Amino acid sequence: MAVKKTIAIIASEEEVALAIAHKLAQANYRILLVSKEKNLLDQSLSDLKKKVPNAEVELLDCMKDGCWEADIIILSITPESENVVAELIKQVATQKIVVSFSNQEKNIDGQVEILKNLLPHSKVVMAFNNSKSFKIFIEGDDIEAVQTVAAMLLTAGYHPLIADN
Amino acid sequence: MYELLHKKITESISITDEEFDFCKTLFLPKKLRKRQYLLQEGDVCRYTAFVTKGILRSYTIDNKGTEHILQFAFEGWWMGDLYSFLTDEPSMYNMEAIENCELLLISKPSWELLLEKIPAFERYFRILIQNNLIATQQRLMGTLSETAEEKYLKLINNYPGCLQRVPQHMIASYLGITRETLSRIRGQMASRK
Repeated sequence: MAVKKTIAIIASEEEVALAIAHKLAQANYRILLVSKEKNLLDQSLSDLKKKVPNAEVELLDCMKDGCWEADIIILSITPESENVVAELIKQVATQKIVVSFSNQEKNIDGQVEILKNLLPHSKVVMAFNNSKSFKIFIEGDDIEAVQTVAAMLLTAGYHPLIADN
Repeated sequence: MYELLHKKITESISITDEEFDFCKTLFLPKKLRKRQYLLQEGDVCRYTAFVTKGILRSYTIDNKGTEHILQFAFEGWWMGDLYSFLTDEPSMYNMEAIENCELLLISKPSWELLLEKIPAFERYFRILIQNNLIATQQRLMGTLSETAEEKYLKLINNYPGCLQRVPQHMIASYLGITRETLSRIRGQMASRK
């Protein structure tokens, strides 16, 4: 009977955004996709809604509004964009779980620190996924946040593995 | 985003800018659309909400499917299920946005931290809770002994603007009267002017 959680997805690549959105929509989350590329995504969203009946998926063009409405924020962005995105969403991401998806194994510790510094009052959880499998390694300082993310990924059909440091 | 919160807090206590900056980091900014839920019956109430914009209502639904509204929360008001918040037990309440809302939510661990780091907040929340207790007693007595007209007048005095912003059936539910009775009372009030 729990209130449906809202997840904002900010991704540099549309396919990544849609793939995550699809799985989370099936797991009964409300999805806000943030992108300026309205025309590209409109068709994909209609397709998604046909595949997942009752899916609550919406396209927004404002990052701040999407993250303001969200309970959990998912970022799949290049390290170069992190500064800009963090600046835009910082105020409305306070106390929220921010999951950063990465498929680059290199320097994951460095990336964690950078994002934590950019969003000091958010609960940053790093998720590393080798796109060939559904295994996702997750780690973060806040244990409860990490567990929430693990549970979310599990219901979405991923195979989360909590990395212990 | 935090101006109203600051205003309300400093009505009761003095805090420095640094203390308020710290306070801000403990609140989760949440936007709700009209008719979205903050809490549903059976959930644990993990957050207490301060309303910056919009209106929330808290209500229960009885076995016959009838809604009973406990409280509205307008701008500058707080809303939460204290019992569920403090005990982690499931809540019996539903909390819903009547208009699009901007809220500041605080979790129990954050709230405990706030009270620990800035003891002045003990006074602030003590004042909030004592006022709530007084208001609750008055509402209880009102339910038991006041006429529909008296309850209606109290409502529009306590919640200015509610007639324009809250749907009639919800006002009737809050007052514990039927919509027909509400219409009659409003008609009588209008003709007395």
